[in-house]
Amino acid sequence: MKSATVLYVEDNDVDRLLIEHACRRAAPALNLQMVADGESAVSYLSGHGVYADRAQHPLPTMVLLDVKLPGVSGIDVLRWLRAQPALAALPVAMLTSSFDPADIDAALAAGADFYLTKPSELKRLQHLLRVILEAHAHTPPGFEALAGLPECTRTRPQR
Amino acid sequence: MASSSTCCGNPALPNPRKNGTAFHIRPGASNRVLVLVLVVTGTALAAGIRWILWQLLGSAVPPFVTFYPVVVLAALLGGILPGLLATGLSLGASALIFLTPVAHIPVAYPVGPASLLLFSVVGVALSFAGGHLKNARRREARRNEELAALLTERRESEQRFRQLADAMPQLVWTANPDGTVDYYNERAREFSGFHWDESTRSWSWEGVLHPDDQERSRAAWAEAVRTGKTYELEHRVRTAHNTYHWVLSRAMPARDASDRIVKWFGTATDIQQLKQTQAALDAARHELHAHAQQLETTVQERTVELQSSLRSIEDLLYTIAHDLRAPNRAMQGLASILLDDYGPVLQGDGCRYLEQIRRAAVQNDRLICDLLAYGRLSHVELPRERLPLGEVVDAILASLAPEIESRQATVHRPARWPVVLAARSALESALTNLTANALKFVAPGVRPELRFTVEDAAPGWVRLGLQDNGIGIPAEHQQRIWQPFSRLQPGAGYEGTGMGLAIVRKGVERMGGRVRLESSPGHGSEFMIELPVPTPSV
Repeated sequence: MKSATVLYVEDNDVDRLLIEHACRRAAPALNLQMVADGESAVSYLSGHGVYADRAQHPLPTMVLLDVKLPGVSGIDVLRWLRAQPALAALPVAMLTSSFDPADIDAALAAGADFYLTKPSELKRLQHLLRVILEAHAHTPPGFEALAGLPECTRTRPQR
Repeated sequence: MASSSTCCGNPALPNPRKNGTAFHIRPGASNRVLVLVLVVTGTALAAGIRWILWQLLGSAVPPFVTFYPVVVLAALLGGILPGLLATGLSLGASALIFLTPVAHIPVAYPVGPASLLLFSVVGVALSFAGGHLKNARRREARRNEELAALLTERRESEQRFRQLADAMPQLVWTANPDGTVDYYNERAREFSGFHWDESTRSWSWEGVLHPDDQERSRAAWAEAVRTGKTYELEHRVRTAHNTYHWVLSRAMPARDASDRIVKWFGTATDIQQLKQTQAALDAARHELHAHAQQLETTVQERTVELQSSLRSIEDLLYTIAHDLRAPNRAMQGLASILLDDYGPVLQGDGCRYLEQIRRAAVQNDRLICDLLAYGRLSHVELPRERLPLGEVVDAILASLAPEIESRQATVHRPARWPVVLAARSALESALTNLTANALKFVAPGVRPELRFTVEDAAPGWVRLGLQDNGIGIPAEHQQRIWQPFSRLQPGAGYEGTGMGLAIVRKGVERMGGRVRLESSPGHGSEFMIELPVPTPSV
């Protein structure tokens, strides 16, 4: 299996704590990297500052991105990311508790591949991480399975 | 006797029914006898006078002097035949009296054959002349009578026209082909401003019109007279009370056989009431229109305001939902971690309490999501599209696969699925709720058995049914369960928000469909959704 690194951008401490726990339990092979705001996400992805060390902070194979972030929003991060030639093809799944159609539309328009709502049960979160890990068994990783999850509200139209 | 030689008696009235080609004067028998008597008497009288004259004056008197007047009178009064008769009788009388050897009277002055011949010729000539004269006179008399009859008829006709005209509620008038008005009916008295102009022998009428209407009325009348087309115009006229009334004036030309205009017949109808009603109606309509427009504007403004507030409320709802869900997730997640990682070290009822916290958080989160979904279904636009029902059901079954697996449920699907006309989001949420219910509401220990059915409902409609082997619903609750927050089964295993079926019904009804339920406790339920199918595209 190729190295599977997921960058999780989430400002809520508990959500980060829960996903970390779920990952440890359900997908320990997954290298879960976490940042708490949009600026940090941009820094991580560009390899600036503390994230310059790619051995410790490898470029992710997938990004899980919250929409409602303080300051630079998830949508802003996504737009920036899609504008970077090196990152334009990076799979991005929004992971948010917002049902707002405006958010969904904005995310899809900005280039999100999946729009996932945060599962309210830990078991579901574990399942989600397991699906993400299993997707890395393929080369390139096949994230299509995400589309079949009940948490998946919308999928990006085929490019 | 020929019919033309009647006497001067009263001719019978012309009988138009008798072919109508010529007048036949029927000679009266009494008149003929009278003429005969007159001729005979006249001749005898003339013979007598002649005899007396001969006695007194001798041969100085011309032999036929007294007979000429008789012949002339007979011809003039009776025509040719009485004239000839008089001539003949005169000749006979003269012969009797004066001619030898017939005469008994000794003749001193004999009447020669030349004299007799002369009288005969003159008598015949006089008879013809007198007859012609009489016929000419009679013809003239007849013509005069006809003329008189025509005049009478015309006077009567005119009188009838005037009576009719006066009986009418309108002003009636006639005009000559040149446009000069020669007659108004009695109604003219109800207006002021008509004036009889003796020099032109016509009525002037412009004074009766409202000053603002004079010019166009004059022009319209002149145009009608020029073109011979119907004159029609609405204008104001001055009444006898010195107020102005609206009238409709109308005139049409009468033409003779050669299509020449011989007369104009016109009327003026008072339309003041009509005009007032029309004005009132126009004002009312205008007012109504203004009100409607104002109402429309108000409605539009309110709609914009409402839409704006609806949008802010919706935004607020999403924000609230988003923010409320985070603590639920925290409680649920952390309680789960505590249970998983620290369950064994917890004393007494610790695990049970943690489990209650976790469940409460899950329940709370579902409620938020369901409320949001239900509220959204009530007002969001649901554009319908052609959806293959089988694919929609398959996707839902796939998303519920863990639940189906864990409950070891069996699902039967029909071999063929129709295409329906529905909004994907609403249809998916309805079918998800129904399927989840069918999986959930079974008696403990029973494996759920779900059966999807498809059948034609009314023309253009399809009915999707979902039968289960669940606990069933008592008849008295079958209406209530479609209401929000209605839950029938408290207790473990049947957790729910009470919003599921309300979401189903709202979504289906917003798509124009219907929901139905057949169920009895212990025998399972069948929930049915009726949806329109797309009409075959041309």
